[in-house]
Amino acid sequence: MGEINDRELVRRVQAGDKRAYDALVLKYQHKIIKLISRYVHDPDAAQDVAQEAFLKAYRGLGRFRGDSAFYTWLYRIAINTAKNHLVAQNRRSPDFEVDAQDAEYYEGASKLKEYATPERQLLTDEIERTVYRAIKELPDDLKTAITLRELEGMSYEEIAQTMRCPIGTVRLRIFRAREAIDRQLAPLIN
Amino acid sequence: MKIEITDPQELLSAFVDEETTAFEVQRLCGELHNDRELARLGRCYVIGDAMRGNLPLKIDANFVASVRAAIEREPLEAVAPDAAGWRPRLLNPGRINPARINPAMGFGLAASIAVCAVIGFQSFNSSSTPEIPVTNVARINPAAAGSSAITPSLTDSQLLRQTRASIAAADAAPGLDAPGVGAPKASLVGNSEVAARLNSYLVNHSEYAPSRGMMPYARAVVGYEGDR
Repeated sequence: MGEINDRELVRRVQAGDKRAYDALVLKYQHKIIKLISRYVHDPDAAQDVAQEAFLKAYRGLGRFRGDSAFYTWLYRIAINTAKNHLVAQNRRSPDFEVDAQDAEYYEGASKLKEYATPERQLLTDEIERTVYRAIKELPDDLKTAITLRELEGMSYEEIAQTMRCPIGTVRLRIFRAREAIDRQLAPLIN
Repeated sequence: MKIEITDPQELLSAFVDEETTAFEVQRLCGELHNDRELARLGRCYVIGDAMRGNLPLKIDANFVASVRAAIEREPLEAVAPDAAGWRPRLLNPGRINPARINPAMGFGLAASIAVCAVIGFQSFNSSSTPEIPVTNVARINPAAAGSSAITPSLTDSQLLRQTRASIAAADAAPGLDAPGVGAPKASLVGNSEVAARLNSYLVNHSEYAPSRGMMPYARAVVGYEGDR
């Protein structure tokens, strides 16, 4: 099911709809920046490399035929861009390579702590605090639904079975939970 | 069976969870042109990433805008595939880069040229007027051979008519077809030595005759073999 979104967005970009590419960038920006941070430790440089990777992906999207998932394809571009950046900086690229599926869960980033200055982490920390506070304030049914979805990665059908309610109810609960969190998050991000 | 989502906000939330149908995705993509909807979609992703601890150290709220600006700065032909579909770009449109020529294409081109050369050679041969050898006529009717020898300036059609006439005369000669008499034509065809020579002649003839069909040999041998 997840492929449908990306496939449709890619199809739209290939047809000249640049806004559809914005949606893809929104969806994968954090994953890609975190992935690139494994190679490029400076957060500012990682942002620039991520931007370059998204630009390269956009340039090459015309040749993307959907043989693999969009994220797998984007992941390879991001890794290559990061390695090229290191070569350009006269640095050896690291020997390890994080698998596309594991990249977001990779925790061996001790070097990143060097760059985690309080100023840089301010917004990230603030966002996380706001989100957790908002979740804490949610009614139980909404809290359970959003937690099962975002933390456990369950599908609506699985959540419906777990919570013993129709899928439509699950969808509504998750939507309401997001709405409640977003009310507190929007002023911070905007 | 899925119930269609009518509320755009709810649809956006389901889209984030990838729990929408292809039709709903298409509908939602149309609404992403609205900046507010796009920003809301971005925040939905932020919520999920924050819950999973996947936010990067530094968050740039304008990251998407930066990427979009970079895309806008790119030359048009270098980035966006146009609405008519993506087309490969040549570095120098006026000149074909030899490195880009596919070897298979080269073989195809060579094969085409070879076929054209063979057909051209055959056409060149067939364009020369075929002449019925005088010896052929002489074997059937020596008189005709003599006349053609006397009149070398006969046209093809005249020669053909003359040959047909002499063959007809040989067919119509009295006693030739009578059984038991040993008619010259019958004896000619029946004689294995003569038949062999005739076949040999026909094969030689067909080599030099214009080849208009796929199997000129087959036509000659099957058509004239006396034993069958």
